[in-house]
Amino acid sequence: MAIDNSRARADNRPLEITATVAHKVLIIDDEDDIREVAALSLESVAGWEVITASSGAHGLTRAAAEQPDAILLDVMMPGMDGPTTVGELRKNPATAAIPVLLLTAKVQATDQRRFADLGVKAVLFKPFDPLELSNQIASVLGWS
Amino acid sequence: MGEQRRQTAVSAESKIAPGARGFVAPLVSAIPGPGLTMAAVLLLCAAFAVRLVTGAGFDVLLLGAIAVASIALAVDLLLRFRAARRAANQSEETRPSDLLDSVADGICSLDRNGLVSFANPAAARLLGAPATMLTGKSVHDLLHGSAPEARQCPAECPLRTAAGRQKVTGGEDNIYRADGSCFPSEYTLTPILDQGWVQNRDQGRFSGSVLSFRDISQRYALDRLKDEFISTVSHELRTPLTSIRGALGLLSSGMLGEVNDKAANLLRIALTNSDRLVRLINDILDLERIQSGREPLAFRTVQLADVVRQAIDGMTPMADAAGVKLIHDAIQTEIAADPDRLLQVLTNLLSNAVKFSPPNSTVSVMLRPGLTGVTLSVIDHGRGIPADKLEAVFGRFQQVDASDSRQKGGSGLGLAICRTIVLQHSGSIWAERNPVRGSTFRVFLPYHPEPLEAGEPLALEPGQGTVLLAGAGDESRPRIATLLARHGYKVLETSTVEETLTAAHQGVQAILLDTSLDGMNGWQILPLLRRLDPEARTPVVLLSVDEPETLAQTPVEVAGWVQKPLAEDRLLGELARVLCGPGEKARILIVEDDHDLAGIIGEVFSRDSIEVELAHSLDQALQSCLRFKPHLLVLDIGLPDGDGFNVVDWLRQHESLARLPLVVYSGSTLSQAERRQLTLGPTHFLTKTRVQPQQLEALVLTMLRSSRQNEEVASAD
Repeated sequence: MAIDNSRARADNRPLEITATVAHKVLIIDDEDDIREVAALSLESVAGWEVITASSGAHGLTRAAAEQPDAILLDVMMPGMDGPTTVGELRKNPATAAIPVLLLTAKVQATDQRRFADLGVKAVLFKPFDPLELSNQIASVLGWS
Repeated sequence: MGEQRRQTAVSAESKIAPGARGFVAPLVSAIPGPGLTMAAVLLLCAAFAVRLVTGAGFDVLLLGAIAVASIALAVDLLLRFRAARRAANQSEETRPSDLLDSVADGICSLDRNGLVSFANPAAARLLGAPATMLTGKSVHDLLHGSAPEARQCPAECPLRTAAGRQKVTGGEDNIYRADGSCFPSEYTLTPILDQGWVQNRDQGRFSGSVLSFRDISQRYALDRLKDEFISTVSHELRTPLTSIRGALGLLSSGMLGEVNDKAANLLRIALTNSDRLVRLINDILDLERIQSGREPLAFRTVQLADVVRQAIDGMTPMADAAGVKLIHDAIQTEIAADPDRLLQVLTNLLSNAVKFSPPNSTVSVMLRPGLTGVTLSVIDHGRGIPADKLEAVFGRFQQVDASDSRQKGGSGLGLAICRTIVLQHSGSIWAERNPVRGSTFRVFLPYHPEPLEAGEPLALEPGQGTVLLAGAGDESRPRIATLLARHGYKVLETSTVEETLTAAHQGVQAILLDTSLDGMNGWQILPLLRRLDPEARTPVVLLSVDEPETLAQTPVEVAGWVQKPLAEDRLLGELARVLCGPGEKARILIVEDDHDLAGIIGEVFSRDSIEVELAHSLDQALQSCLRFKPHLLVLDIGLPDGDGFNVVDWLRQHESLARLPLVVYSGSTLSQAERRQLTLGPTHFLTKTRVQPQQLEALVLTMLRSSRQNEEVASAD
């Protein structure tokens, strides 16, 4: 019985604004709709501040200027793709330390092995559950 | 056999000149060829002679002679034509050396020391060096010798040791050309064993090997293309789904403002269906990936109970939502498996079971270690599967009811994925109907999934039954304990009433009870055993000096009786009998065309109080299966009117027999594919030359015991 109660609480948690610190997250994705849904999810579920960029190049500029606490980065983008963007972020001292999480629609094992070598904090998969996305990011980065 | 004979007849006929078949053929075969022309000429001469001598009036005879002579000439011509044609064909027949010259595969022969003694032109072309340069090299030097410094292969490169092996080896590896470039290839190294020397092929004299290899870069390119395609499609499908799923999730959470009930219901419908679409895409990709074999399984030692627990943990939220309870037994069993894939199998089975279970019911997972592997059962109390769908549910997009995919939200691929994974573990998966309600999905996983190497001794693992041996300091107890241990039983020994009562509840499968016991005798302890655990069905075998006739007055709880002084056979037989089933004698059918061997095997089992029926032909076997209803089948492959494959195929068509425990007792070692074709329920393969009838006995007794246990589990739930 006790276990059931605690589980019910765990399920309800996303509905409450749990974060006491308003983290700032940069979402880099070329898909306007995904950017919007993800931003809305992090803002309304976790109460975080979200800034967005529609390309890798734009993302690099925003990351350097805004100094977000984390970057949620799409993998497949025209022009500069996710892995290249990670490399560029690492090269710039101003953005080198910002933790990066990849958000990808690719699930092939060969792709995943490639991501593992990039030194990102985690690889999250699309489609994501908008109610769970902030929890996943928070648990990876140790934000409680 | 009949088929073969028919083929021989057809091929003999086809040797006759085309066109002449049917009409001329009987003639041709009836008249000997040479001398036909001579006969015709003689006949004509004779006719003329008669005409000259006798004068007019014999024209009819002359005409007849001319006609017969013409036919004879025609036949003669035909025969000559045929002979000429045959001669022409022979000269066109390809000589072996031409074959080697024109085949596209690289072929090299190696001498006894593993050095190349001959290389065909294709080998020279593939390796970019003249054939004369290739001779004298080892296999490793030949294929990897030109690798550039940076890409030297490790010391354990299989090609280094391959040539010395006296069995077929092969694989895929990069091969380096003389200029240092490389291409992916598939190679096979086949030993040449001098068969005339010793009849047994495995022991033939090793006189060298043949290496063949081919360029498979095209296949690699296709694989890569397919990978890319799948990766792209999955990306293209998921991207729009991400927006849809995300938008619906946020809307239906009510976080962005309340919506009215009708709208909320529509949102729920849209959300569950987008989830279903996501699962479908995932499952299609999964199935493709697993079946392609491009991601081989990562086998390691796995504690199966851990995987079960993990799967149950993962499924608990879904089960809670459905009001279904998930339970499992915690039997520790180690197997070699890919834990991630096994988790996938279990998760799929549990998810199915939960979906089709009514609220407030239970889904249980059982592990039953057996002789060569473990049987995992997922038992539900849902509506069950119709008998004719038990096999079909493992197909793609197969659901018992067409409306299921809509109502239950499955992709229709879950069980197909399960079967693919289980087969990759050399296991088997099947569905059964529970006697009362619901279904049981069983997965048999061998402890060691690799096929047995030829010549490797078959390790018979100890039986899994634990037997409680209770008796006061009798000198015969150690002897009985040793005897039982030797036959694969685990033995718990007790000498007092307290010890016995405690031990009886530690999961023993049978109790051997001496009527002399410290503090109380066997008769008095019986009711105590039952009172403490009225549900227990642990059979009790009494060891007593009394005559068995008094059994009529003994309590019903006593399942067996062995009179002292003990006869070993009698004891083991009684034990096997009570373990195989209360009251009912176990029945086994032995299908073996060798009457003597069948008799010997039958004799072995009759000692164990097992009812044995012998069948010596395919026909007898099928009749016996229906009439005798065996609990287990011992099957030989070669039968006078068919073979073991026919028997298994036939059994699979019958619901009540399709899961029969089976021991294939064959003359030769079977390939993995053949084994798969011969698998029914729990199936074991023994080779006659390597396994004695006594080992067969031990295996059969253990299988009967474990199938009995499985039945109990199924009926207990």
